Amino acid sequence: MVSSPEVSPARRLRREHARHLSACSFFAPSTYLGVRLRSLITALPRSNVRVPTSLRRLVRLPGFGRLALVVLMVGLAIPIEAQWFHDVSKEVGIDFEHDDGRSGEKYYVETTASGGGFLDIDNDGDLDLYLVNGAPTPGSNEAVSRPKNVLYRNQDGRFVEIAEQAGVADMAYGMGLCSGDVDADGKLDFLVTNHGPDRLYRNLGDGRFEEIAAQAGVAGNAWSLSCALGDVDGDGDLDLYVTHYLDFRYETNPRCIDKTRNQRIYCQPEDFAGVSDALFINQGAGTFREEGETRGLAQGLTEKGMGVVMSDLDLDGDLDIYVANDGALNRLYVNDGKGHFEDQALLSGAGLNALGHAEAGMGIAIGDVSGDLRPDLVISHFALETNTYYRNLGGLQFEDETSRIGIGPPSYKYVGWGIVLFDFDNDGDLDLALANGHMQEGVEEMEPGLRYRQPNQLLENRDGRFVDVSEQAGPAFTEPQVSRGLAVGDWNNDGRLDLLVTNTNAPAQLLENRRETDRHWLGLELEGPPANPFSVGARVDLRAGSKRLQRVVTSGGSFMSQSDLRLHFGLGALSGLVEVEIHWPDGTKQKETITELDRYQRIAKRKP
Amino acid sequence: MNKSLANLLIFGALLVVGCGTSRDLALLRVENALAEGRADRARVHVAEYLERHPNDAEAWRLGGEAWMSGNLRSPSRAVEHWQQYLTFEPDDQELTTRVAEALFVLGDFEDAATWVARAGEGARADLLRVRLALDADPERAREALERVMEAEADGMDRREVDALAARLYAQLDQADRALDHARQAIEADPFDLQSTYLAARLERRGGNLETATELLETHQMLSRLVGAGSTAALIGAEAVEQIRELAQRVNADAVAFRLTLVRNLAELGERGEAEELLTGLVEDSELTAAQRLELAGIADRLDHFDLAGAFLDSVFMDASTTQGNQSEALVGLAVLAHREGEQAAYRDRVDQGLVRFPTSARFHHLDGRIRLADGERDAASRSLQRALELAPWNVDCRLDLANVYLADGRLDEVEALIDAAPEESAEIDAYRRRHGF
Repeated sequence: MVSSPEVSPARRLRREHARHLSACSFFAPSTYLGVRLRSLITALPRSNVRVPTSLRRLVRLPGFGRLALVVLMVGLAIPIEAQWFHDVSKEVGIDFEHDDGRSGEKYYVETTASGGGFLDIDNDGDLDLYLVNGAPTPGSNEAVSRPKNVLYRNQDGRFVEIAEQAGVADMAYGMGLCSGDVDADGKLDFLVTNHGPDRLYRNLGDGRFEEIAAQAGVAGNAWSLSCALGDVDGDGDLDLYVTHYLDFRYETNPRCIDKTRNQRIYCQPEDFAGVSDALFINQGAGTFREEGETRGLAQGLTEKGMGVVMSDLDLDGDLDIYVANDGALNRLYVNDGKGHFEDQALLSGAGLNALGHAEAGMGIAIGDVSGDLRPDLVISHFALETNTYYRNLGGLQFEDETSRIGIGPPSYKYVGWGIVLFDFDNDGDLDLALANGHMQEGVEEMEPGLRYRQPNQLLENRDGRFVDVSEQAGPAFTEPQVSRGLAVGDWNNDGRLDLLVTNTNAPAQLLENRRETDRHWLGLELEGPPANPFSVGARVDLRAGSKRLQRVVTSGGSFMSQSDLRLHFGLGALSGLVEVEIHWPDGTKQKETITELDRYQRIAKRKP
Repeated sequence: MNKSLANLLIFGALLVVGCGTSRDLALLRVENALAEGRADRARVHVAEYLERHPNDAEAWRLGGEAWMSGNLRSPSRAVEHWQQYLTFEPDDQELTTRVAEALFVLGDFEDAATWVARAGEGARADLLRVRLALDADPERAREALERVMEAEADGMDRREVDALAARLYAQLDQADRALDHARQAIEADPFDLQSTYLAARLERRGGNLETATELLETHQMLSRLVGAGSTAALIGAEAVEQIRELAQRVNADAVAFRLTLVRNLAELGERGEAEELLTGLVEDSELTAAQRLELAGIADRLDHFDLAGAFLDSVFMDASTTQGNQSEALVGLAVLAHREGEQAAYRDRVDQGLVRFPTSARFHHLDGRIRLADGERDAASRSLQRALELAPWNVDCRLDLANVYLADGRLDEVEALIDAAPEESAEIDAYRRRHGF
């Protein structure tokens, strides 16, 4: 870190605040020792004090044991409460550790690591987890390391690993995933992207999956990163978009050297040719056909697709596709309603930043940041670039308003990958979380201002300006890591959105949101038509008092990650009636009035 | 770099001042390495020097320069070096501004603002304040705009003023004014990608779809020509086609287009049109010294030695250009004279270079070759040793000296010289094999 002639007031304030928080955490237990334990025990389940699930179970123990454990629990819980997000992975049974299978040959495939996501695979109303892993690379010690993907089933707040029995313990070099019901049988399927053939897991409904990528025609053999499902051709079933990064092969791995240190380093994307993305059109009966070129996708060596989202960006009733490319013009494929696309990235203003530069696009967050009921885009980028906010002005016009909302400077030193817009404090506006980490080990020696391990970030939306609140969020956002995937979901159904973070060669983290608030919220689970029962691509506009909120059911998104398919609205102090207008993926609309808040509600599509 | 330019001026970019002491020589090595684009070497030299002389302010300054240069530049290391320099020279506003710029590059806007405030007034500091306002504090756009206008009155480059004013007016939602300035910026510099893109955005938002599309096409073609993003710059036939189209769209007379076109025509071997363009450009006063040097290289490649000489002369005689450019031009003129068989003029140019640029490795190298050709082996040896001392990475020079030793039967010295080569090279390897070292 460089020094400055004097510490700026803002920085000093941040430091003081951090010290204050740290002090509060340390002394909190003694402050509370005088509190009557019995009243505390009885108050716990009702109060806003959040305690880890495993500790809650201990309260059920009888007699003195219970008393002693509760004393311990209170001692532990209070300091934890000072942090907004707490890594509960270990205590809820998540022991996954990513392994990129490196051998020292600096294979470029190692740089993207792997993602993960929230999936309710058993449709029981709570979120399960899937985490993607790497694989041994040529020259690595396969006897020591045989990483595989894992599936954790959420069983009453405890995660149990079932990948082998479920048939999803893939051992290919894994990247990311996206989910949706591809065969219209009412069960959630998912696609896993790989370096090499992708996997499509068809949910059999009995806890097992069948891998059908090859027979379905979606396996491919490229280096796939992110994917998204959605009905692009208006026939009701889900089609599939897969970003292909670049043409990396082990056998032609280039050798790149940092001459200053005379050390081998990872090459740059410029050292490889790009590969066109794929658009698989669902033919029904569980088969797909790749039609990217004929349907208007850009072809050529400059396409280095990383992130993708499908959403109705021009609000004309069909799904458009936005692709973040690495170091090249992003793509905004505008749907003609029949699944044929025209790239309007350049003309719309969403393809290049305000300076007209193509940035190193990584992940994509979609959401209505500006509160005008139009989905905006925030793209994560490489270090020494900003993350970029493209405000949707309507009429297929986007404006780079990064500096206006203040997300530029906080992002400059970080390499951003996973990115989500979510309302972590239930105040009604969308906040931003980022998974950061450099791809070049030893970057500190090449550029001391940068770090290989970087803290993830939480930016709180305060009246339209984003403020970095990572220090208040807790160690999960201050301890440097090499993160990649980031997904959002309410794993314990408490109305506060949690996060799943995947890290390179390190454990994944389930970050439980313990932000104290008495604000209201609403969760919606949309039940779509049989061909798309999870309503992937649906949009909900919510009106309550003066609030206008919008959320979108998104398959994929962020970077190689899958977030909760349910929709979450923070409502602040609002407690009256809430009106929602659902824009179903088939273009029909449905209005509902909701009277009961602070819970998840299922809304089924009405028959015409 | 253009191949012909490299052939003609391969060691030309040597900016050197002062000579004599070991301290000077050590720092001159750093400067030479920097001038030759060898930032990695400059960093090594300066680090070695600073280990022995940690209180040499100038070395810290040069170290900062070295870390701000090259592909693997490191602004934070540059800042570290410059901060050390400023402990010795706290009133150096120029360096204070450079620290602010480096912090700006790093995205450390808060610290950059502190340092730019410390730098006080001045065109560069003002410019940086504007950039800070644009990227870090949009609320201050109006204030920044005033600064730009003041800077214009103080003589800041009109192109820069228009480009910045366009962005600031856009930030203030004054689209018409923003567009006016963007248009003026493009008129002055048709390769101004940022203003072209901004104009396109403003036209699009104003509903002028056709104009916006045209500007965006121009922007994309320009991006390809200059190699924006991860796309390599276009060269060859496709580039020529695009340049012609762009020139028609924007301003066919713009120097930037003619220069890019002649570069590509020469690459394609289209001599006729390239020569015509070169002839037209000789008298163009808008050309910068760097452009004229490049054109000299192109003319040389097309065997138009008279044109090459004219471009080089114009640089060498230009009192306003840098010593580095003049030195480069003089090297070019010497090599040109040699190529045309004008030995007297060749020697005259080299002698002139030795007097004006006594620590330029290239002139000593050329002097060594001349003396070798004249059979003055001792003198040649001394000149080559001096050249190698100044540019130890120069393989040609090392091998020339090795040949002198070899001819004298000084085999141990040949071996030592070859072993001391600072890095691997195919030429050195071939030499070893050929002579059994």
